[in-house]
Amino acid sequence: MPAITLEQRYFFEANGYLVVPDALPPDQLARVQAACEAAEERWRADPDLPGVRRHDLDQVIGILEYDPVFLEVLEHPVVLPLVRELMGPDVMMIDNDYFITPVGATIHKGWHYDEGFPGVYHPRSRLMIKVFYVLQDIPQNGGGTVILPGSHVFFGTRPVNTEVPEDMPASVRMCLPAGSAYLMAGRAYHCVGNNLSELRRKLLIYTYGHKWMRIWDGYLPSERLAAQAATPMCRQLLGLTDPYGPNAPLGAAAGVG
Amino acid sequence: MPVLTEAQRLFFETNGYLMVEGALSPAELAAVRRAADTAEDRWRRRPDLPGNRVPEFEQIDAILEYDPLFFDLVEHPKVFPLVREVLGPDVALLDHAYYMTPPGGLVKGSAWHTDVGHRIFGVYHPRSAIMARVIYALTDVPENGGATLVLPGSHHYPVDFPVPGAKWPEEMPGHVRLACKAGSAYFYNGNLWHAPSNNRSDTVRRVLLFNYGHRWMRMWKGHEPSPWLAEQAKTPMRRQLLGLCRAYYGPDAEYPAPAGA
Repeated sequence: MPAITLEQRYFFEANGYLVVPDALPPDQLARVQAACEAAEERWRADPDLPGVRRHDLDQVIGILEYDPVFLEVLEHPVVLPLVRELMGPDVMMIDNDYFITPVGATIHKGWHYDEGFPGVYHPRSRLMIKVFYVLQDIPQNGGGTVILPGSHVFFGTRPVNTEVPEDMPASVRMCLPAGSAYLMAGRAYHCVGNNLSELRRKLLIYTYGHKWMRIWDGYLPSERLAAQAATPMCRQLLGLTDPYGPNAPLGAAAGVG
Repeated sequence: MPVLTEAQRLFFETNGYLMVEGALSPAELAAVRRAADTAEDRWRRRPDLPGNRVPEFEQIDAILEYDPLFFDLVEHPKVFPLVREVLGPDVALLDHAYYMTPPGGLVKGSAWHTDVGHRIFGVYHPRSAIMARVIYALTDVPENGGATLVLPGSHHYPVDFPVPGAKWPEEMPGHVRLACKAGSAYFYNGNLWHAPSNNRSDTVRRVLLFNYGHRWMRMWKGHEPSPWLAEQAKTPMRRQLLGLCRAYYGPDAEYPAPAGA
């Protein structure tokens, strides 16, 4: 049975994003939240650990290195099969982060594409899908990702870049309850929203690409992390297999056949 | 400033390949032949060195590991600027080899393929240039000498385009045979349908192959540069070509490399 429904596929193909409600059940969400808090504490205590430390963003780079639960989420039994259906059997992790958007963080003209490579005809290519796991409720004014639906297949002139992210005509905001996940095509035009709420926005973000692509700079798995890859699919996801050789099956670790 | 002439640009865009006759001067060709002969001798004495060792087709993988001269070819001023323009400033090397095709082998029609079509998922190949393979002829390759066959314009075919089957490579309708003189080079878009042909001449076909992609792509397995080879990458462009640079962040290497780099 396909891991993706027709409704999900058509929605993603038409809009360039897809929401997966309740992707993390309450017990798993609690474990992930606890692991994120521990990771954040460790990261703040050690400025040598890689990340972005700005007034408008705290980004813990390489979150997979902090706790095995993050590897479990990378192979999420519902979300990974969806990504694989949309990307192809050669799916691989490109980067992984924990994002914290502080209260009051605003961004100006921040609309962008994640993909824009020479030699690639992007309107009909799909090099990356980014998966966001919402770890705390994101209210309407809470800095949820703003996406321009359908922009992943735009060609020609780049869309406008609005001063205020939420002012983009026809855009949608990813204001979702904790435990939700959403997928976004790397070519979808998007922007982080302004966080005018009283809650920090907390997201776990995994970017998936293809195994013939290089992992994003600074995200190559450590030996310790690589040793945790128990299945062929997990080894593929961490870039530990032949880039142009056979693809790994989803396997039992992903809950499929 | 563009380095492809308008005629070259239109020919490549239309047909998916380009021939550069006389790319190597006689002196360059002689030097490369000597280096290739030395590499072949070493490879034959060392069965542990990677490659393909069937009598009808011998392939020395990772030829750059054998002689610094081969790295110079990767940046050859008559060919590399053209390839860089086709692929983009983020050009990098994916794999490299030395092929020897003796007379008498048997190549079937199933040898027709593209380099990317069923291997590189996610890219819309009919309008992309994700790979370009450069081939330098080290011997004359006559019409019956195992020349590469190409199907002009087929790089624009969608992945499910019904390319007909053929019992023998030479039976493919509409193909062009890339016969050429020693010292010539040609390159093609990785999505171009192509095949080796049967060598019915009386000489071994000898060619060097360099497959270029983009710096955010991984090297072909077994082509990750050794410390010896990495040490030769003295310029930003050479480091980019060997994947010894950041994959996504930062500027592409300048070309030509700035003086003193």
